[in-house]
Amino acid sequence: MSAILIVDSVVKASDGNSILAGASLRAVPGELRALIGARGSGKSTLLKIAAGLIPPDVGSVQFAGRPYKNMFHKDIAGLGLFFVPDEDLFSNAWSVRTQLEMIREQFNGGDPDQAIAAVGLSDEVKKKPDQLSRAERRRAEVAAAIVRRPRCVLVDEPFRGLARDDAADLTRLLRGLAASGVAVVVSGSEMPDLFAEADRVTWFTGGRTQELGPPSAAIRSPQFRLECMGSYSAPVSRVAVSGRR
Amino acid sequence: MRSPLSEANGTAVLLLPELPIHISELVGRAYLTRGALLWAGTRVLAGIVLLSASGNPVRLHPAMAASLVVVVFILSYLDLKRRRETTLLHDLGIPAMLVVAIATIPAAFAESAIGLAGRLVR
Repeated sequence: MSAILIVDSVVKASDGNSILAGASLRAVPGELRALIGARGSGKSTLLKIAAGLIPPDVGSVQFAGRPYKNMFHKDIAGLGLFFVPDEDLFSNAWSVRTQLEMIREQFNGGDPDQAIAAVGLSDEVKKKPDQLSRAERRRAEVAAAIVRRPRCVLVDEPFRGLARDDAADLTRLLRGLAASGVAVVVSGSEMPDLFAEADRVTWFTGGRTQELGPPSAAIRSPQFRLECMGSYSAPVSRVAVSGRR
Repeated sequence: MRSPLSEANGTAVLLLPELPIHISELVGRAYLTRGALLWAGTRVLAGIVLLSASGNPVRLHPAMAASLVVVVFILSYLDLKRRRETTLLHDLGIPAMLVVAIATIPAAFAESAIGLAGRLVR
């Protein structure tokens, strides 16, 4: 299937410092893509450019065949892109249920109760986000994506600060989102479970990206293993042994 | 022809002509309520200041009433930033400044009504 989001050779600098030096990204419907790189390396900048939050200095970005150098995130969101930032998406002013209802009303989206049940938050639905744990807030954001029924979801660093079990749960939910036909891109630096579950791996290093293919191919890159996978041998073994991709 | 307020899929949706923007009833109501509370708080504070200066705390000079509406607009914007709601709004396809403008509607309406009532009573 062809990519719905195409970011090509994007360059971005801030205060004279190069952040992106020719980074590219693809998001394909039904595919879970892991954007892996060291913390603070510029992954968030790449995702923000992909979402239309900030413009690139050089390079092209297009969503659903429409280039949008001069389009804003709100316009691209209307076309079916959903961005989950590395900070909380939801406002603490209203309950999770209310905000899911806002999304449903705005886009004639899915049933909030079903989405809440799917992410296992039925008992917490009337709480405001600041009354939830970090892991619960991340799951609520996946519920938001389920209600929105987007064509593409970009999730920035969702695993930061999560316990291993919570990260595995979140990965499962993101995997389910991709299985429903949504193009999912998830960035992170510590993502053993996501690495094992991803369909494709994009390695972000030195302001550039490298397409490494499926995880089983990615682990054959010595530099990638050295930089990103050193402390996570278990998932790597799982990929290698199972040979599922 | 698009009407300012139409029913779409059982949801009241504000359709803005020429712009592909719509705001659901729930979002609109949430920001109208917030704007009304901000206006009420600002009005009370302005009233206390005027009362301490032996002025009329209810009937404001038109320029002051207009300034109060501008203050509510600025406070609404700052509140939006403080709560980090911009990304959520953009994910909803709504420009942040539009909801700030919506949050200012109660202040503009209330100040106009109070000003008009003041003239009629006079």
